[in-house]
Amino acid sequence: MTTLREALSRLVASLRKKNLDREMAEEMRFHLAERAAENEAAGLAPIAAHQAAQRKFGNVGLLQEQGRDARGLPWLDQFFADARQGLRALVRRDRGFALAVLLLVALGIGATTAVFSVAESVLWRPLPYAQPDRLVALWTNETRLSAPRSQVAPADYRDWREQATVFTDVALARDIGNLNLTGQGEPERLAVAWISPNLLSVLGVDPLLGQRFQPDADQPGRSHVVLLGHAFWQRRFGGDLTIVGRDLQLNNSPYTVAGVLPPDFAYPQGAFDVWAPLTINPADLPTRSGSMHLAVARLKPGASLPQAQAELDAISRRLGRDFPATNADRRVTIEPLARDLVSTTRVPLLALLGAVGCLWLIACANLANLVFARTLARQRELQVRIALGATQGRVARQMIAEFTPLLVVAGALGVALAQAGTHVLAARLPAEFPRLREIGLHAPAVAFALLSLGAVALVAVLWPAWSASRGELFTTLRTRSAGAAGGRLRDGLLLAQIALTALLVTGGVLLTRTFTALESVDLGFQPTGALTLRMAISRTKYRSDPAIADYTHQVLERVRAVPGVSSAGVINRLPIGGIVETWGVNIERPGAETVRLATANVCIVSPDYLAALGIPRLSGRDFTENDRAEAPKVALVDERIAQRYWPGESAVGKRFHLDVAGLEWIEIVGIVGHVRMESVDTDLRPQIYLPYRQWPRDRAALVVRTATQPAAFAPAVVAALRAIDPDQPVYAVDEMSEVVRDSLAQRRLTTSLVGLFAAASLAVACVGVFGVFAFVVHQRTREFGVRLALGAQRGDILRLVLRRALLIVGVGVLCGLIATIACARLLHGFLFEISALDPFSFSLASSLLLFAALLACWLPARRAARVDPMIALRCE
Amino acid sequence: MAQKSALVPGTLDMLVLRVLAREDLHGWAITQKLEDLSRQALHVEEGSLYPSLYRMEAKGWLKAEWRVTEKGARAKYYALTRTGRKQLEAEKENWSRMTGIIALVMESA
Repeated sequence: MTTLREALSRLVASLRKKNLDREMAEEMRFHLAERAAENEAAGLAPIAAHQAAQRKFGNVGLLQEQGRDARGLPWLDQFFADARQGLRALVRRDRGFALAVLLLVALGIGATTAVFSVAESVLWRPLPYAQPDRLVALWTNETRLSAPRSQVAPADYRDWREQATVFTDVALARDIGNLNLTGQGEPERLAVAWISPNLLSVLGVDPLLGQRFQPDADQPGRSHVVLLGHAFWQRRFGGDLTIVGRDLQLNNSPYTVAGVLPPDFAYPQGAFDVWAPLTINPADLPTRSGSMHLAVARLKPGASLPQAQAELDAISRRLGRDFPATNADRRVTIEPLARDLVSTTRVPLLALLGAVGCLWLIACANLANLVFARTLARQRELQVRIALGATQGRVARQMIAEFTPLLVVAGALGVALAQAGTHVLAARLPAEFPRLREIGLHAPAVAFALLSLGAVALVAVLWPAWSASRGELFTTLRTRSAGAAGGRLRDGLLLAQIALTALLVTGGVLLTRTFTALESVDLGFQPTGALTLRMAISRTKYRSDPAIADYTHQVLERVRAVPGVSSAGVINRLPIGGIVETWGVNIERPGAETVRLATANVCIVSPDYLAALGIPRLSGRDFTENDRAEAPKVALVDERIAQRYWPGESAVGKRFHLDVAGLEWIEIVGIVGHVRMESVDTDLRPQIYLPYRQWPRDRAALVVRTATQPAAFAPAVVAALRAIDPDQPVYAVDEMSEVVRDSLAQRRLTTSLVGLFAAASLAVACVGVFGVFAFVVHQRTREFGVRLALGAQRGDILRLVLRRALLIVGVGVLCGLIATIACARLLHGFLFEISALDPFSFSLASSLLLFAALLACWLPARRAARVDPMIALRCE
Repeated sequence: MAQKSALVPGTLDMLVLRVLAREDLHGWAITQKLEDLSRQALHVEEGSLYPSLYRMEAKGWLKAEWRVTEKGARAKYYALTRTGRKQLEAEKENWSRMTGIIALVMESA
């Protein structure tokens, strides 16, 4: 109790210092006056009395200090005093050092925390739903096609929902759809996510405004309701709070706004404008095929993932028995929702975190060296203080206090940089990046920043303070040159810096080479010179398949008439567009069973599409307008299918049919070049092409090849479309080369970030090399003077320094390369057509580093060689 | 004149408490009182007295108050608190026990 009371009163006293000081001064004055009065009474003259009193009193200042110590918090006062003095000294004498420390710490903490906060927001933060760890994503596992994450069939979803006991509920969503918004100013094509009415209750989310869908919202007649996405609501309606209950004209029929979703709601993705109830067409059920559907379920409390998997396996087997044609080889893949949503980004983010972590370690090593060097430079002062009686604790406390303000400022700056950096990173991520809107600097990231600052404090402040107070860095007062002191530690830190830099630079070179390889990959078509745009043809306006086909034909005719257009065609899904339609294909083998081809991309195209996109036609013919719905079914196949199934002969005239029951034979009439359909860096499947009149699709991409700069033709093309149907919204008007570029956006970002880190680490390491060698040369000046005086040549001194540098840098680079080889397996996933052990990259990285490091120590080496022995021996 | 003797270290607090047990005094008066009671043998340095007073005030054994002296000047008067009285008793007991032990040793054989 006493100590608590004492502590409290001391705290209060230190806060009321000014008042208490005044009181103390008055008390002393009174005491002095009384003693002077006594002296006077004893017979001294007034002045003499006063002087005698003062002599007796003693050193007033000292008394006041002792008084303060007795009642206040002396160590706190001392801390602030030391901090103030240290700050003054830094600003006046060591500005370069202070700036270096500030930059290193602020940038290091800023960069690392920014990357960490992105990783934390996306990978580790719980999803913004109720009890998110109970949510799982369900996928169809087509074991025969080795496709564990295939689209869910609505019929399967129904059965899972009815038969599974391990879930509280299962919801279905279709993550592709659009509705044309008209009647409210500019017609706009909206991205729609179709969801089963129970989705919000499965996720445990309530709308920001309004209510969830009613359970019967998927019944015909009750399904014209929508929930607005938050961003769309802000953008289109200005955040109008009265929007709930109003009607919107979507696809020419009224939809009532049921509510507005919260800003971070992002299932199945964040980039949708509205969410509408999913109606399952009963006619589609018997086919038991999935298209763009995905399912999410909530586990019952107490149910585990293995239990769910076992139960769903049993259900799948039952379905396989009941529907052998479709479900015989189907199982279910279950994955926790959090992992599922971010699975593609986990590895790149972790790799980035690793890279920035390396940079951070390099900066720390650099910092430690800087601080050690400075402490060494102050050794005289510190030795004198110790000799005069300062305790180890006092010296250590002083060194800590001197550094604290700098670290606090650097830390605050670092956190500010992290906040800015997080925003910059988030702004550069592609719009489909998972959990994009949730990215921000949250509590765990701030804690991480503080922890990093603590680590810095440990390395840069406590460690030198501790060893300095032990006098470890110093030998005795008599020793002049302390070049050897702490040398091993210094060299070790430098070695570590160089090794890590080598790792980062090699990684950077590998990634850059990968990226350049990707940019020059042969896609199988000509992206430059082609303009693309997408249309969603309204089924309410063009009700029948022939109507859609005719409309498409009209569009093509109009566009071809635009001056400057050399060819135009449509396709259902653009290559490198991120989505492809794939079907199983059964090849005809006369006299034998049909051979099942795994899957092929199905491209539904118009005549001239091949010319528009620049896909070479190898043999046979292109489609014509005669390939109408009533005509015999024809197709084009790519060279891969032709060579694989009809090697040595022409595939023209051969037949196949699509892997759906009841469809007729299709005859091959031409062979075309192979194209990369899914993405630039994968080449999974071959393609077959079907004529648009025989397989009409209401979603089409128009490809227009122009004589010159495609972007200039965009207005004319759009105008041509509007001339036919003014209500037809067009979207994603882009040059094809831009589409390809955008598909590499995430890779571009990762590569440029790693490149940035590698460059930064190279710069920091070079500064480290320069600093260390400049310091060593300075310390060894006397030794060099002696050598020169004893007959050594300037060249010998130069060689001496450079040899040492080469040794350290060489060993460092070697260690770095070994580390890179150790990480080769991790890097493998990022690389494209380059081995992780690519010798060219390794040699490029090491030579770069060696060159940079030697350049960095060239100046100190020259200075060493230029030492004037007379001056060197005299001073010091 | 009696011999001036140095203070036994650690006993200043106890002496000050004892002096203040009788009446509230300011710093100067405490030094005078100690000189009087010890018959001029004890002269307490200001450098020891005031830190001791502040320390004991922080520990809660004394409380201080500004008052006006008979001469009309302002001075800080210190008074014993209840905890201070308890502390005084404890120290007194400790002291007599210690002196008893020392006397025992000194007078043996």
